[in-house]
Amino acid sequence: MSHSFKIKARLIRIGFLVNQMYKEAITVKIISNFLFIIMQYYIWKSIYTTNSNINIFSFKEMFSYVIIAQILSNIYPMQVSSKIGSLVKSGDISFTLLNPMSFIKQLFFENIGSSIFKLAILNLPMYILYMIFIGFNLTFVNIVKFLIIFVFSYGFYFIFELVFGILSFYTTSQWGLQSFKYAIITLLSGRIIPVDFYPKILAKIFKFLPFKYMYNAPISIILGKDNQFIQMISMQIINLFLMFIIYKVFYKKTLKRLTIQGG
Amino acid sequence: MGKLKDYIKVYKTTFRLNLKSLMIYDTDFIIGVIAMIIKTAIKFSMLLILFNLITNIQGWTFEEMLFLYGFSTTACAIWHCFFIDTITIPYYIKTGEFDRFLMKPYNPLFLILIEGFDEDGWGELLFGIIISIIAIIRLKVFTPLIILLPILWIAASLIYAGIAILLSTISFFTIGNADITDVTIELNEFSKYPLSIYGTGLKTIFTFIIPIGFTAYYPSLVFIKDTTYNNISWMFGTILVGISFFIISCYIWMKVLKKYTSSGY
Repeated sequence: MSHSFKIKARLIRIGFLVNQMYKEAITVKIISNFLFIIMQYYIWKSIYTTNSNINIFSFKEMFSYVIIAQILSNIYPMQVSSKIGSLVKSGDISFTLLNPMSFIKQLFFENIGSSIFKLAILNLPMYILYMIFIGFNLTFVNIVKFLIIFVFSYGFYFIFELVFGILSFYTTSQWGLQSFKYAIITLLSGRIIPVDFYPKILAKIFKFLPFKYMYNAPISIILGKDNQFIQMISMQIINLFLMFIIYKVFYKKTLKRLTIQGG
Repeated sequence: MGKLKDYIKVYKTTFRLNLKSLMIYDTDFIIGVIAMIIKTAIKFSMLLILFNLITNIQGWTFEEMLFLYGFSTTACAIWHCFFIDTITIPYYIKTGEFDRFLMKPYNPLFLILIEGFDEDGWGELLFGIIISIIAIIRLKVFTPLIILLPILWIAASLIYAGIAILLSTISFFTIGNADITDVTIELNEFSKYPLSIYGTGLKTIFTFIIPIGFTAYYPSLVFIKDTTYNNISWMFGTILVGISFFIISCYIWMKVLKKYTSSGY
């Protein structure tokens, strides 16, 4: 028991330290984060000054939304699918599958470490930006609710990534898969524009789908725009469960296929 | 003169090789292209969603934004299709493969630029051109200057190439641990909106230092707004800026190359 805990703790540490190694990469990431925020600031500012009919969000709330979405997107385990993809491409996947510890577990704990690094270091400039431009406009209760939802979102995101990673057993076009993933997340999760801004019919459909829990739902909660907390959590548990089943079935099927190829 | 002939010959041969290598792609190639079209379309749908809610962005109507968007996407896609290989430089340096280009009797930057086509850019290119045509029809752009559009696209794509070349020099010092693509593509996003919405400081930077303004905003003015003397000069200025920025970037790259030491792999 304590031994397995030790391994997990060590994997988290590895995930953390790997990020530290690539200082230049982190610097570039911070620069492109800044560029994105600056651009969003000017776009929304000019939209709000020339159009007075937007009453869903105020400019301040909208800009908070943009920054929190960026913070979240930095933390989510985005590289899982491409990591699996590159392992499949190089053939190293066969070794990782032979490891005594489950390969998926290993990925999970490494990503937790990586996310902690990003939470603490990569996002630091984002927190400062938030404080300067918006100030502290969050309540303690909302933050706690947000954190609870975020834990489930993180799990959902991880499994979603796994499913996409498994797809790379079927095609070598990594770029293609990543683009598909990007498209799904951008449109359905409210990553760039809150789902409430969408045309009514689309908003209705997208609110029914699980992807809004990645960005739209947690941010609405932390900004106090949405109060259906209990309903959200229960939906998230159902989603997580369904996604997990999809992943399990898919994983099993694919591994069988892999054995045939190797046989 | 004989040297130039040599370069053209090398370019012709690699161009033919690259075309042939495109043809060996089967389903993966098609998946890549389709995915890229979907990705670009989804990005574009954000604009549609916005304009479902608002009527203009600082006086720019939907049709005008459409033209700007198409211009920006096409220019970036041309860079993506033909000159994107400079973004592999960090990887080449890291693996030591970079030395291969230094051994040949041609300019290493030239060799890297023509190294390969990126098939993923084709979908983007197609999408950008379609958007541009739709915008031209809806805006009823009738000036004969429209024939110059392809030249302007290429000039604008040279600016992206220049930016990517300049950014790649950083990897001579950091031995390629940073992904510089992010920044080039992030800068492309800026050009999809009118330069006038950014503050004076940013506007100055995008005009004189990193000429992002010339990758869509300045050359589009003549088609979208009026055919004034000013706007026409902005348009011809784009061709000039594109070519000179590219040449300056190449020059700086060659200067920085002298500081390069092999990674020792």
